[in-house]
Formats: sequence, C-alpha cells, structure tokens
Amino acid sequence: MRTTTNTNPVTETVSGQTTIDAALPAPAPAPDPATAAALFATWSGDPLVLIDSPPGAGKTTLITRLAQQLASRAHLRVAIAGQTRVQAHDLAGRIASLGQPVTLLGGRTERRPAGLHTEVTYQSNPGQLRREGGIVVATTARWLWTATNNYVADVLLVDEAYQITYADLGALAAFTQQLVMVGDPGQIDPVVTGDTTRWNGQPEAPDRPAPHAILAAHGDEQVTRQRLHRSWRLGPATVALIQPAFYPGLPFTSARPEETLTLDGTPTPELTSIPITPTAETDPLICHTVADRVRHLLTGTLTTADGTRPVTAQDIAVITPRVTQSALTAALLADLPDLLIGTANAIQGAERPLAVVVHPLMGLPEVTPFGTDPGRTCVALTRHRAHATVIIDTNTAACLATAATEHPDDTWIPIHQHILEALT
Amino acid sequence: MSTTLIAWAQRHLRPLGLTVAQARREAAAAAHPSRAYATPGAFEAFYRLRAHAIGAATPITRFSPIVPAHNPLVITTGGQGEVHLHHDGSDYLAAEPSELTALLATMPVRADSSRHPVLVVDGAHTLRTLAAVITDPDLPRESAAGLDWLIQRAEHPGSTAAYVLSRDLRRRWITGTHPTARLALADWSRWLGVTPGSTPARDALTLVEALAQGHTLSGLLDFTEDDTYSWERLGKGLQNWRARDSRASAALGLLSRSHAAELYDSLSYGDPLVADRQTRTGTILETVVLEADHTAHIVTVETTSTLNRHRVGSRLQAWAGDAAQAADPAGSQALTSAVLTQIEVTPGGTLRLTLSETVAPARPSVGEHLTLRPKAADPWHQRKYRATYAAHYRTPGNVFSRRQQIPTTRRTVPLDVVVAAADQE
Repeated sequence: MRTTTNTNPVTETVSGQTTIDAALPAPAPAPDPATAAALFATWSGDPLVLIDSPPGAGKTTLITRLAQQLASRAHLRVAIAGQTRVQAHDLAGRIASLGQPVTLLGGRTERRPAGLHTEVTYQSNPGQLRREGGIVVATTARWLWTATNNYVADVLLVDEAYQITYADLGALAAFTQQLVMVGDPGQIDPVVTGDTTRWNGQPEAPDRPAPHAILAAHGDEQVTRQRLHRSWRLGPATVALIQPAFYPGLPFTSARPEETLTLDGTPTPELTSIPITPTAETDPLICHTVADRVRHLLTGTLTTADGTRPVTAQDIAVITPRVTQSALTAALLADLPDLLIGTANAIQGAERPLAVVVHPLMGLPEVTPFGTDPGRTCVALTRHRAHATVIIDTNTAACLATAATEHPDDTWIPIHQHILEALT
Repeated sequence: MSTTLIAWAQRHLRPLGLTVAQARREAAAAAHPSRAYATPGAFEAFYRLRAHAIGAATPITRFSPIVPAHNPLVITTGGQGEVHLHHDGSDYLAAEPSELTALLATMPVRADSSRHPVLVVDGAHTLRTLAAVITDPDLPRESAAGLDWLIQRAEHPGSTAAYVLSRDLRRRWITGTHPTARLALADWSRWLGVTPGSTPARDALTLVEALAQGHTLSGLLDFTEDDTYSWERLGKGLQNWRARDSRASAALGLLSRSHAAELYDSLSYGDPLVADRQTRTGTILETVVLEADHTAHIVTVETTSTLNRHRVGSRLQAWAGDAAQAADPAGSQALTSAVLTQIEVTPGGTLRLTLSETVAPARPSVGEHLTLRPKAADPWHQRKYRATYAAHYRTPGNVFSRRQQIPTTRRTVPLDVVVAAADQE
C-alpha cells in the first residue's frame, strides 16, 4: 500500500494502515469530500474539529458517515451526542442502516423507543457500555448523567453543537480527548435559565454556544475549522433571503434538486405569507389559521425528479414561536399525527418538504428580544424544501417601525424589517 | 398617570377589546383581574392601573418571596457614588472607594467564619461596586472571598444569603408606574406606605423587613441548605477570586444558578396569585374532571381555555380546586401526579386532556375542579445532577476543562482518505 509522510500535524498526514485495512471484511466505500476532510482531520488526531454548516447541508449525513468510518476503518471508540431524543434515535438508526454496530443509550427507567431501527442495540444501563463496543449514541443530557467510569471514547462527535453551552461541552469532554463539533451557526442559542451576569461579555462565558467559546479559548491554532457551502434543502429564493441576513460569514448556495408544490393547480413559490390580525400571541385565530393552511396544503401535490404525488401529513412541519401555539395547533390537527409540530427551539435540525411558519413577532404588541432573536427567525424559515407559508401579523410592520425609532442601534431590527417586506 | 404607562397599558389592552379607562375603573373596584385580562401583559396592566388608582403598591404574591434576613449587612449606593452600610444597629458611610474597602474589612463577611453572612443591597449597581472592591489588594483575602461569595449568592433566586431589593420587591408588588421605570428605595417606601429610615441603608432594612412579612413561600428553606453547603465549601478552599473563574467553577456556577431559578419558579406556582398569573401563560391550567377511571389510573379533564404550554408526554401535578386554591408540592397538601397522554380540541373550543398514570391521594371525581401545574422541581435530584456534573469536570482525562494546551495524539491516515479530503472544495 502506498504511503504518504506527514510533517505538519494538522494539514498533512501519514501512511496508510495496512493492518487496519486488512482487517476489514470488504473495502470501505470512498467517503465524499466533506466527510473525507472531516475524517482526515479526526483520524489524524486534531483535538478539536469544528464544522460549520448552513441549514440542510447534510450535517446528520456527515456525522453518520464520519462515525461509521472512524469506527470501522480507524477502529476508534466513537461517542455521539445529539441534543434531542429524536435526533439521537435518528442518528442511531442511520448508522445501523449502514451496517455498523451502534448502541443507543437511553434513560435508566426508559424502554426501547418504538420505531427504533431493529439493528440498534438499546441500552439503558451505562454500566454495560464497555461490553457493547462500536458507536454509542445518546443525548447530551443522558451523557451528562453518565459516570465516566462506565465508558470513555476516543472521539466524541457533537451534533447541533451551537445548541449546547460551553459549560455542558466541558462536562461532555470528560468522555474523550478529541471533539468534533458539527453545527449550524444560525440556530437559536442554548436556553439558559440561570443568571449570567458574572460572565457578561466574556468570550469564554459558560452560557455561550460551545463553538464560539471554544474558538475564543483555543483559537485557530488548536481548532480545525471546516465549512459546508451547499444547502441540499433550501431553494434559491430562500437562500437569497436567508444567507445575507443570518450567515454573513458563511456563504452558501442552493444545491437543492427541483421540488415544487402545486396548489389549486398552480405551482406555488418557495415563500408565501398569510396576513392576520390577532388580538394577542395567545389568540386562537393564529392556530386556526395554521390548521386551515395545513389542510389546504394537504390538497396539493409535490413534484420532484421522482415524479408527482399527493402531499401527505408527513410532508408538513408547523413551526411556532410559542409552546402554547404549537400545543393548540397540535390539538386542532390531532387527526394528523404524522405532522411535525413544534416550536423553533424544539425542531431545530428538522426538515420537511413543506412548512407552515408562525412569524416570531405574531401577536406581540411590541418588539421583544424573544421576537427578534435572529436564530428563531432563521430556524423557522429554513425547515422547508419546496415551500413555506408564513403567517404574519398585520401589526408587525408597525411594531418594527416603532422599535427602529426607539432602538436605532439595534442592528437586527432592519434585518427583520427587510425579511418581513420580502415575505409580504 | 404618566403617558408612558397609559401608552404601555393601551398596547396590551386594546387587542383584547379593553380600554385603559375601563381597566382603570375595574382595577379601582377589584383587587384581582377578571378572565377578560387574558394575557400576561393585560394582567400586569390591570395591577399597574390598580396600584395607580389606589396610590399604593399592589401585591402579586400572597406569600413572602424571601426568608426573613437575620441581622444582615445592608449596603446601598447613593447618587454621588457614596456607599451607606448598616449592620447590627450601626450606620457607616464611605465616600471614597478606599473608605469602603476599609469599612468592609471590618464587617463580618470573612470566608473563614463558621456561619455565612446575610447581605441586603438596593440593586445591581451596588453589587457592581462590591465586585470592584474585592479586587482591592488592601481588602483582606478572607473578606474579599466572603464578599465574592455573597455577590454570587445574589445571583441565585431564592438564596437566603443575599437579597437584591430592586429585584425582590418587584417579585412581591407592582407599582403604578411603567414596567421599566427605575424606582429608588424612597419610591418603594412611598408606594408601600413605609416610614423611611434615617439613612438609605436603614430604608433598605425597613423594606427587606416588609418584604419578609407574612407567610414565607413554602420550600424556600431548601435554599438554606444550598447556601450553607456552598459556604462550607468556600471555607475549605478559597479560590482565587481576583482571577477569572476556572472553567469548572464557571460551569458549576451557571448550573447552580439555573437550578436555583428553576426551583424558585417551581415553588412560586404554589402561591395562589402567581398561579392565577400563570393561567394567562398556559403554565397552570384550570380544568373540570369529565371522566375518572381510578382502576386504570386515567382521568379526563376539560380546560377553561385553549391556552396550554404542556405537551403530550409531560409529567404534571394537580391540586383540587382553582388556581386560587394553589397547593404546595413541598408542603403538606398532597398533589395528584400524572402524565399528559392526549390533547383534543372540544367542539366548544376548549381542550380535553387525558391524564394517565395518575397517582392521587384523594381520587378526583367527575365535576370536580382540578388545577394542573408542571411537575415540581426536585432539589435532591438537582444536587445529585450537580455532583455528577462536577465529577465530569474533575475527571483527570478531561483536557478541555482546563486552560491549557490540548495534547495531540497523531494517527496515520490511509491514502484514499488523504486524497478524498484534498478534493473538498
């Protein structure tokens, strides 16, 4: 086998491993370039790898393939931290479908989740992890309840890394000496309930999104950075709106295959809006409008390279800013259990062909930090592939205009105004 | 009435079809808002208009949100930067930072004391003043460490060691002012009808005593245990408070602050007035029992509105009666616990909730009113989690938890990976 000699520990690397490759039952498929770059950095031993990704650039696919390659070819013990149970189940299932042994670590009192891939080993007792081998997937919360004398990995892959705090990452790191963080810098910052006054303005504050703080702490010298530049989810119109507003430092383009919603016999644009005038963010009118729109979408068809088919409930996500709105919408649409309904926080990372989005400032009499959080708007407007309908409050433009006068230094208000104008 | 208060109230009332004049009339006549004040903003507007109409602060909790402060050190800052102190019946004044350092060196805040001190300050600006003083090399190490500890406890809601009046008074009362109006201690004394003290620090002492009057919110004593434990740990090993927090102490500090906030919020749902306010956010749900199958441990209830923050799968607790009969999970009143397993919209536009795995000390019967709340935070569970979290930071192999160069172990990589990686754009 040919070998290459490495002199620079970060950018160049060393010889092929005859013994490792010989141990494989069959040649592994060649990784795609993005996975290969991440695999190269990780396999060669870079202690911190940060991969920034726009929405829909294939984070989950990258993590799945990276884990499989590291476990099967480099024979490393690989741990993965997802941020929600759904993400963890999905990752474990995808890894299992590659034929790679994988264990899902669940809560001590929980049972095997319904619908989990049959080849995934489910384990609720972390004491058994040493015997499982292969790849172990769990939520960050579950890892943080697990003692390190039960399990240690060679590499820990953190999915949706911008959703965890630096504090939590520091605790997670007890399981490994090598971290790979994959995340979308446009997402909502981690929710922190405690007072953070003590660390205000500190670049390494424990409440900051982990990648930002890691970069502040270790800089470019120790953090290997990679970026994904193509979104397979977002269409050109959505990218044109979202990228300049929320990803000024991460240029990306649309690589989405053609996918179109046809409604009432007419192709529908990627983004449309429905204006309403609610009395408050709790006004049931909001959720009834969403429910009506969902039922309307269900009368349409989706056209892709594979052909044209009717829209089903599985094709639709509903994204609301408030828990109360998603709860009532879910109740109104209880006859459609396959719909994905949740707040922007809850369904970060999810994707559907179609989305119905409640604008984050819906029903608010005045602009609030919650309503203008850039991550919330960004997440809400980037879950769809073919089409998103945005439900807009007719009072929002006036609210933003007032806020622009009262807070001229707030740089996000003009961006929200621009997005609102583009949607209407 | 200030135009800013009117404009603010209008913003919150108009969408509900209410006017400020109407709300003012109703607020002057009734102590609590009707269901028409259906949003948190309208609810608050009612209380602000009531306070303005009656010329007195309006209580928004029934119970005191603090444990009475025993012989506290009281510190306030005046408009010219002068600092007033009061302790053990004596008053002190520091006009210059050096005088403040010298005074604080004589106060009972040393970290090597067996019992922790109690601090009362007027607001966050005084905490910032103290944070600056503790870096003064003339302040004894033990005093600086004790003050730093007090500043940190002030960031833990519910702490029995440090009280911040600008925050804690707002937890108990609302005044007839705009929500963002800055209120000095003298303003609070006026709104509360409290006779001002002879010095600002004595004012603060009077106000903290007023704040502690009446029944204390049940469960607050749990914070005493955390305060004591934290103080004892401080005494065992003083950290370098003049340097930045270590990563571990910052992470654990954030976690303990978050746990304190969650526990405090959870306890506050046991206060009837807070529970009433939370019915406007969907956190607390007033319901009527429709069906009860105690053999299968399933109860079906109907809400009085569509407002609900709970998802299917959430663990809930419940008490018999409406929000006004709020029950306390830490106290003697046993609560029903259950899992929310189904939510449907009724033809009448309300919600029908199915509660399973019910564990009820008294079986709810059909027609009975049942108020639902989130499962109470468990301080024991929180402490156990913090211990595990701390152990992760102490793990010898955790190279990321310290400020040091991360060791790198190089491995060889097969050529096909090197070539494929080179193709990455």
